Amino acid sequence: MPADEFIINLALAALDADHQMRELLTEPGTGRRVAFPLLYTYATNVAFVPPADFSARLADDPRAAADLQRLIANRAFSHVSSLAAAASGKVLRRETAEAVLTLTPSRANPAHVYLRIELVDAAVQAPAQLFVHASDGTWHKLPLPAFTEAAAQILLEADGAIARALSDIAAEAYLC
Amino acid sequence: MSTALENLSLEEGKSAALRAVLACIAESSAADGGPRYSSKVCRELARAVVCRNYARPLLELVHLMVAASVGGRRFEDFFWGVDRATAGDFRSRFASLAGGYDHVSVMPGCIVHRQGESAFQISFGRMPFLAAMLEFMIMALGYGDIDDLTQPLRHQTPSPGDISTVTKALQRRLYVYLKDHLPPAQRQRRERHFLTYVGDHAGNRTGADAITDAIVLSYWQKYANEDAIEARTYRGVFETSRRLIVVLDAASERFAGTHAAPIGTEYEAGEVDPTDVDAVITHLEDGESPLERVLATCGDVVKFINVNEAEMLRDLPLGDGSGRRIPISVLRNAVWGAVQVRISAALRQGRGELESLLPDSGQGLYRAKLSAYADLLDSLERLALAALWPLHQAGDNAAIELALTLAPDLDWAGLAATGDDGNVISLDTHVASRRFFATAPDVRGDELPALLADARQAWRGVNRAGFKDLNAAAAISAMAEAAPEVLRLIAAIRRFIDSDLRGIDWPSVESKDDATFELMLRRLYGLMAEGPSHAG
Repeated sequence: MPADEFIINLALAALDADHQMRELLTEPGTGRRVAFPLLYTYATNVAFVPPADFSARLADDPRAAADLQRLIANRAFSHVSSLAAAASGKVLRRETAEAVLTLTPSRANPAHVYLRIELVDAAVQAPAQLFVHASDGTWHKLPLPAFTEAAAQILLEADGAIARALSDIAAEAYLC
Repeated sequence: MSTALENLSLEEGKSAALRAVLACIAESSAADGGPRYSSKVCRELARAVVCRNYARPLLELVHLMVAASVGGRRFEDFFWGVDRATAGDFRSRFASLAGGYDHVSVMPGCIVHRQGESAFQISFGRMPFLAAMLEFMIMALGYGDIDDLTQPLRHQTPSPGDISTVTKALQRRLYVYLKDHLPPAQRQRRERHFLTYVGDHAGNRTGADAITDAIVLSYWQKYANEDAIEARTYRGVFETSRRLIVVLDAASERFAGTHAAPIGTEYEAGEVDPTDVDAVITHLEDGESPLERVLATCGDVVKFINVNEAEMLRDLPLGDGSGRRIPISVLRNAVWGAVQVRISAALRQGRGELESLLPDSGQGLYRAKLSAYADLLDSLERLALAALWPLHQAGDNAAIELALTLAPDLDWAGLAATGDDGNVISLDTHVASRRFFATAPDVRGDELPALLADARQAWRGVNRAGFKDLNAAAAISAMAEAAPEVLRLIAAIRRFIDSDLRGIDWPSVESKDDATFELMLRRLYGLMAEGPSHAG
């Protein structure tokens, strides 16, 4: 093949590709994706508060939802899996090889429940946050206080999203 | 027809997910709201994707993931543990990870991954692009898949076999993804039509040499009024010819450099090497022109260039060979191309005074433009001289480069001399630098004192952002960063004016062009009398 023909074809291929590249960058396409850095920050930064539409956007982006679950699972100190279908009603105690989680209604105020987390091994580094993956796919994140003698206790709204999700047999949770 | 539309719709549907991923990465922001990735990195990523030139980047990424995973660390903590993906942030990140791993070492400008006798280097400057590539892979293929595929890289010391296996697996997955989501690039009709015309009228000339001022003008004259061809504006035709010159030159250089025997001409059939296409496209990057680099480095902080000046300079082909090949077209575009843009805008806005937008003939339009460029060049050189003063006062090394460029005869060896044993003069750059910054301005002094006095006087005469306060640290820092780029811009403008535009009989060109362009514009826009009405 003559060199000129190759040069012209290479030049034209480059112009075509350049045009396509500019189009790809200027026309955003359909469906807005949830950025991976946002998922990472949500999973790793205890103090990070996600945007208000975070759950809705995750619901619209199943791939990102799967990425978040994997990110959290990869970093989890302990995974509290959903319970078998045989279990029924509300669950007040969840147990894993690493920790025991119990929900105890407050005697002083029925609107509150106590979430107590006890670590099986007091020597391990205590988790800093709890993620609850509700049965409807929604994620809830709870920063944990410092553990004392391998245990931490948090006061929750009994009717709040986290307490309700934790007492649902279909929900799963991760201590990270 | 309906089949064509269906195909178009199908192609758009295929690429929607890909567009969404690229848009998400481009819009990804750092904690301070600024972009996580620079636009240059985003374009580089899109280019690698479109050209399917991902084999080498994925190999680099795999080596970087090994380095990021030393000591059992999670790779995502390395890549997304930095807020803004810049070379400096990744350098700091590696500095903080430092610690006795035989197979990975951190060097001043790069990291090195050693495997037996071989070593693989990745510069810190490359890492932002590789981070964007990884983010693209994760968003396109899924974090879980990437996590699984790259698992062997987290072995204590991954083997060459691990590297190869993971790289090939990632390449295969991306190949399949792009097969499903990246439609073939559309063949750009405008460039092909122009090139065919060039081929028919170029005589014995080939390649970019075949594109001449005469051909650009005659093509516009022939096709400006044809709806089927996008050639209505002279500016459009000029830009097409300029881009073709750039890519033809780059392709020619690429071919000459490699001496590779191409196996065919069909890009989609894999007969044109994606690496070649990627390399040629790089030459079309606006951000690489000397003007854009000045604006990128100092922008609004130090106004070496204001908005009007930038607009004027954008007409000049400062970073490519088109000025050399079609110098008259550059001036035609700057003068008549701009007139046509104003007429088009007036028509869109329904304004009726189109006649008044035609410039008077016989006024030496090109020479006036050349004079404006020369004035701008003088102004820029004056600003470079002015910048020498604060940089010298701040003891910034950028002052030395400025001084040596502005006064090439400066006796640097004299400043550096530390001793003379009769035969050999001992030179010390540290001594020279110290003496340089210790020199005081003196109008009646020798070279350097006089230069500094000129610089101080120039500084006092400038009334622009960044040139007002000797103690503004941010401005001085931006000025220091921009100074080499300003010098490159000055050199590029000077080369264009003194070399590319030299030897042209401008009065003669003006006389012919006034008539030609006025006639064309009158015909195109239905203005009353045909022929030059203001001929001088």
